[in-house]
Formats: sequence, C-alpha cells, structure tokens
Amino acid sequence: MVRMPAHRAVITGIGCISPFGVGGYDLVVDVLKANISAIQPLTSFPTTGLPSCLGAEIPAAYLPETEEGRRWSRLSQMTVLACRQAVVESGLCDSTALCQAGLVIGSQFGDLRSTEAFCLGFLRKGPLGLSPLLFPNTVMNAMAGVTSIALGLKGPMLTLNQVGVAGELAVARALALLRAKRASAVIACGVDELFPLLYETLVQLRVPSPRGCGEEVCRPFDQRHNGPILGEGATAVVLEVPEHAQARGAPMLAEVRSACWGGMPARPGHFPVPYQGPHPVLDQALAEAAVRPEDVGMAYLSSCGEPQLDALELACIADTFGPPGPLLTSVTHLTGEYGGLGTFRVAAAAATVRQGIGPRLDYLRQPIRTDVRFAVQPIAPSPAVVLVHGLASGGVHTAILIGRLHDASDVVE
Amino acid sequence: MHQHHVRGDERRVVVTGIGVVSPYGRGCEVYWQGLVQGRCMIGPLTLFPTDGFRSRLAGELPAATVRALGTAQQSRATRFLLTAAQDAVRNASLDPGALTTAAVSIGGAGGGMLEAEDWYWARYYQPQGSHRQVALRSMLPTHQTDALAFHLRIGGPRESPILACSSSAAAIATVTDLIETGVVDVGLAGGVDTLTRLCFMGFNALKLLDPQPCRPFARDRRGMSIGEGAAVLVLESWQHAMARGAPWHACVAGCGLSSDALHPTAPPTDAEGAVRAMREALARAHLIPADIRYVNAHGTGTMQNDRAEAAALADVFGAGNVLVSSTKSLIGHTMGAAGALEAVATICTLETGLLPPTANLWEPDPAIPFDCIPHTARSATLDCAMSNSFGFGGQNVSLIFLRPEVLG
Repeated sequence: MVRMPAHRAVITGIGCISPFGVGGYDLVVDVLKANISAIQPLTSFPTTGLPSCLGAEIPAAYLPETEEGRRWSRLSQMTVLACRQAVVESGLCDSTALCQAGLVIGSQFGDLRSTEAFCLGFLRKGPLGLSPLLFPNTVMNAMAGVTSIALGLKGPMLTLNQVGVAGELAVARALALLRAKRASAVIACGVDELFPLLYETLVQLRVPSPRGCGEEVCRPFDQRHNGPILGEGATAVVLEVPEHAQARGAPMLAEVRSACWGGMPARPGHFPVPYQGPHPVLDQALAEAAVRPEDVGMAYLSSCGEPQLDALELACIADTFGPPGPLLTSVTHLTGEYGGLGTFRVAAAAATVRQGIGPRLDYLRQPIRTDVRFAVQPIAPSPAVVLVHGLASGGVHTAILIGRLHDASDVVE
Repeated sequence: MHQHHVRGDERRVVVTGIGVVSPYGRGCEVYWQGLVQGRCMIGPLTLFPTDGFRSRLAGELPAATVRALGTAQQSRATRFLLTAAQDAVRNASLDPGALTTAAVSIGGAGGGMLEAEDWYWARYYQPQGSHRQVALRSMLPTHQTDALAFHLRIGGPRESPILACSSSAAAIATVTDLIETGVVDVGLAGGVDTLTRLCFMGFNALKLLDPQPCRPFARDRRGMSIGEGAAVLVLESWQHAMARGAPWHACVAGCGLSSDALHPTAPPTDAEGAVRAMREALARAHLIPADIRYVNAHGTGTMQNDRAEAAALADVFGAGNVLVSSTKSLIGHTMGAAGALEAVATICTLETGLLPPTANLWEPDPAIPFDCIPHTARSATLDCAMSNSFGFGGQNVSLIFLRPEVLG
C-alpha cells in the first residue's frame, strides 16, 4: 500500500489536444521522445503585413464535427476534448465519483474569438445583430460550464484567469481543493487558442518573436532569444487523493508532491525586474514535498524565449538550487507559448519521472547562463522528482513538484 | 442555535476588514445606509450609448465619485478595486508587513473590458487610425488582481477566479480554504466589475433585463438590472486576529460550491445544484437549517432564477422558514462583484440587526413562499446568515457568516 501525506495527490489521467494530435499520456510521451517542433507558418488565418507569421496551431481536423461540438465554441471543444480524454484515461468515467469531481480551468485569454464575434454583430447590425447564443461564451467560465455539462461534473468548478502560468495555477488550485476536502478528484485543465485579432494585436505589441530583430524563432535560454512563438492547446490532468485512486483501482501515473504559488512584486504586465532575490515559493514547495534541492533531477521552466523571463527564471532556479542544480528544459520550442500550457508541462513531468524522457534543447548554442545545466543531451539517470516552475508577468510565481510513485519512503505496507 | 459551531477553532476564518465601492459611493457605511434606507440606485445608464435597446438602465457609479477614485490612467475596474482594497486593509488596521505572505483572490467577469471596448470600437470605425493598445493590457480580469498585489505588495497565493456572477463569492470561499488549511494566515478576497457594453448588450440580447428597475420576487418581474462596484474583505485566521488584538466583523462559518452540469445559462427548475451548495455550507459550518433565519438571495429578478432559488430555499429550509431579500434590487446586479458586495451586506446585517429590504416589490409572486422583506428594512437579531450567488455555467456558491459574539 502506498501511503502519502494528506496534501499530496496522484495523477490518474491525462488528456491533450495539441498541434501534435489528440490523446493522453502516450501522446505526451511521443511528443517528448520525438522532440520535433510543431511551430510552422500559420495557415488558418493570413499574417500578411505582420512581422511575425509563425505559430503552433491545431489543425481543424483534430476538432471533429460532432453535433455537440457544433453548439460549442472552438475553445470549449478543445477543453471538453482534453478533459474527456483525461477522464477516460483515469477510468473515472466509469465511476460514480465523476459527478462529484471538481474542475479547474486555467486560461489567459478565454474565448476572445466569441467575444469579438459577438461585438461585431452589434457593430455591423446594431442591437438586432447580437447573438444570444454567443454571449455566454464571452464569459471566461464558459469552457468550464460546457465541460461540466458534457462530462456531468457537479463538484466545485473554478476558472482562473492568469497570464503565462494559468495551467500551473489550475493544478495548484486543484490540489488546494483536494486539500480542503472539497472533492476527492479534480480535473485541472489549461487552455488557450490562437485567433486572428489576438495574434495581430500581440504582434503589434511586439510580444512574440522576432520583435524587430533577427530570425523569427523560439529559443528559450539562448542569447539569440527574441520572444516566444505563440501556440494553442488544452491539456487536462486528473488529480486524485491517493486513497480514492487506490480504492477504485485507478492507474497512477505520478504524484503531485506539492504545488505552491505566490507573487513577486511587479507592475501588471511587467516582469519583476530587477531580480530581488529568492522568493519563498520554491522553498515552500520543497519543504511541503519533503524534498531536498539536490533531489530534484529536472525542471520544466515556463521560459519561452522572452529575454526578461528567461533571465529571471534562471536566477530563481540558481538561487534555490545552486550550481549545478537540476537539468533545465522548456517545451515552448516544441509547442509554442500560451497561458494554459502549464498543464502540459505537468503532464510532461509525469512522463519524465516515469520513463526518463524529456525535451532536449537542441537549438541551444549560446546559453545566457553557464552556471546551470540545460537538457541538451538525453536524460540519464531518470529523475525521481521533477519541478514544474512558472513565472508570469505581473509576478505570479508557481512551483509544482512531480514525483515518481512508489519511492521507498512512500511504500509502507 | 445548534451548538456544534460555537468553538474557537484556531484556523476558523474571521473577517477583520471591509472595503466597498458601490453605486452609493465609496465606503462600507455609505453602502449599508443606502441599502437599509431602501434607496434604489438603478437609473438611466450614461456610460455609453444605449439607443435601440430594450432596457437602458443600470446601477452606475456617479461620475463625480469615479473621478475621485485612483488616477485617470487606471482602468475603471482597477480604480474601484484599489479603493475598496485600501479601505478594507485600513479598516482591518492590518500592518502592511502582514500582506507580504497574504493571499489575494479577486473575482470578476469583465475586467477592464470597458476600456478594451473603447479600443475595439475605435478600431472598427477607423481601421487606419492609431489606437491606444495600452488599454488592452488591463482587459483581462487578472490585471486588476495583479495591480492590487503590486499596489499593496501582496506576496502570497494570487488568483482571479471567474465564475460569472458567483466569482467573488468563490474568491471568499477559496481564500477561506487557504486559511483553514494553514497555507496562509491572512488573505484579501473580493470582486470587482464595471458596467461594460458587452454585459449590457449580452443580457439585452438574452432579454434578461427589465426595462424598469428590477423587481426580484415580484409577480410582474421582467428581468434584472445590471450594476457595478467592488468589495474586498480582509480574512484572517482567528488565531492571527486574536494575536494582534484585531476586532472582527464576522466569522466565515462555511462555504459551499457546486455545479449544475445542466445548461450554460439556465438553472434547473429544482435548483438541485444550489441545494447542494447550501447544504455543503451548512455542513462545513456545523449548522442545521433551523439555525439560519436570513438569506441574502442571489435574487436577480428574472422569472426563472427567482423561482429556482425559491425552490432551493424551500428544499433546504422549508417554505417560509427564512427571511429573504435581494439587495440587487437596490444597486443592480454587479456581476463578478455581486458575491462580495452581498457578503458585506450579510455581515452588516449580523452587525446591526437590520435586514436590508427588497426594493420595488409591490406585488410578491405567490410562487415564492418566503417573506422577501419588501421596501423597508426590518429589525432582527441573528447569530448567522447566508449569502447565495449563482452564475452562468451553473456555478453555485453559498456562504454562511456568524456574528462575532457567537464565537466570544
């Protein structure tokens, strides 16, 4: 029997819709093993006249034309697909526990596509042009509402709006719901999508690469970094209280040993620079997980090629872990960057602790720091504990520790 | 009263500070006096053109009040929120140092959408023009939370829950959880929303706005009226408040959260999800239904919502067994801020022994089997009271507050 402290949880299912396909844990494993980027010239809308033209987009074929799907927005379809896959993989769909399960959605932009379409109806035709069917989608909890209806979830349901680390925050809040005994199983899903107005506006605000200099490319931690490439997707993870998962014989992929979050002082929309020293979030996460810094073998960072973020996050890691620290990696050069990506990082971390695989930073030629280790080679040995670290403009800071199951310290009977 | 709850649990959560910005103006006392005097603030909406719409009313903050809040560079929502939060911290006499590890959770729905709409409208009518994209930076609800955290140097867990009309009630529930489980000792929880074209147009499109000021629980009710405002509560563990000798307004006795999983906008006729939220709040508060004598209802004034909420109240408490009022009849439905504003009204009810009335309730709906306190505030000494918030997407939150004297 596996006994773990009450505040831990296990991951029992993963669901993902991404430019790489629709699937569960195996899809995540395939993405990490292949280490091939999904970033390409955008095809779903024109980028003529814009200084950026790349993105990691989900082909239309991945969103099937079902009757229920036609009633939902694209973003809601993505959310339902990911959550449904995760629920199927966890076996929760066959359980009466499903209707008591909680749901936490993390998103940076929500359904701005529907918001624009709703407003355009008015601007073109006046009050008669307004669609009552579109309006509910303009509220950011629409994806959660649709998912709860599609899956029959009747437990606590939260949508968290957050820049950059919405996915990480969804996982942390899901763990907090378990800890508060509001549910025995919670689905955490990060989701965001690309659409023309958003892409064009972010490019005009000089958010993505190339920002007026050099090649348009995503190179986290490299001196040639010049901004992220935008992406889209939804990844859901089912978190459960270990006893609950065991009682129903659920597959247990990995353990969430701790998930802490806090905030560094920063103006909204700005990173907390200059760096003002270590923030307690990382120390809290390590302490709560009863893990020493040297036990953390690898870290997935939220760095995406944004120069300030790359530098800041490395400073955080170096401060807490010292040289050489864990092997550092990113997924944004594969998936593109979006606010809800953190749940994919958590899913990837689960694959890392189980199978010793992780994304390699093959592009990394001139790292911005040399006192830390980057994942430029295949991972060996397989790390038992992996950190998923997030830092966002505005200063929100997250640290999630994912552990391999059945460590000697956990197995008590 | 059922006695199980009367205990000095160290992790029990108490409310030590309150800040409010409402259509009555700035301040909790101004808000409360407006409510108990039954002054309805719903009038013609002036913030943007309303030509051609069925309803053209709202509970809008006077322009002079808004000008006195914050700076013109800040979004309307940011100005409301910072003002409410500063007042709440001051009311709690909280040392700013205590905020460095405090949590902050601010619910909303529209964020800085009003300013983003200005940008989008200008862009639509003048595609070749140069438009201030900086307005977009404050569009997302998280911007207001980030601005608050920066302004007050709040360093603990930070989140912006979006649950439509129950957003800020959920913020109170989630911060309560963080305190009860020992993650933090102090947290700021609340909500903010301003009037936006999007909200105004959307509810008009759904034909859910009353052309007259809304009449919750009335036989001839025809929908809701929208409003705007912000409310922030300082929440602390009982132990933390005791250690610094801080008086408290109320205790957060229990919070319930549930989902309907039925329809994107409509509640089930039996409001089964709302029943579960109320029962969870009671269970977590260690109370029985007979302990509750007043409910600050969600009470939007739409035909379906009021009827469903009444069915849920009858299921949980029994028909006629609680007094009910809707303060939305006085200031409009403030969307993401409504849960926090109504939590404040519920706390003030416990503190003053006055139950706020439901305005415009000339002819009660006979299908609503409760005394909904028409027109005039009523006296009643209560130990505890409930506040309900229900949102689009089937999101239900119920909060129960206790009078400080009950804890001793």
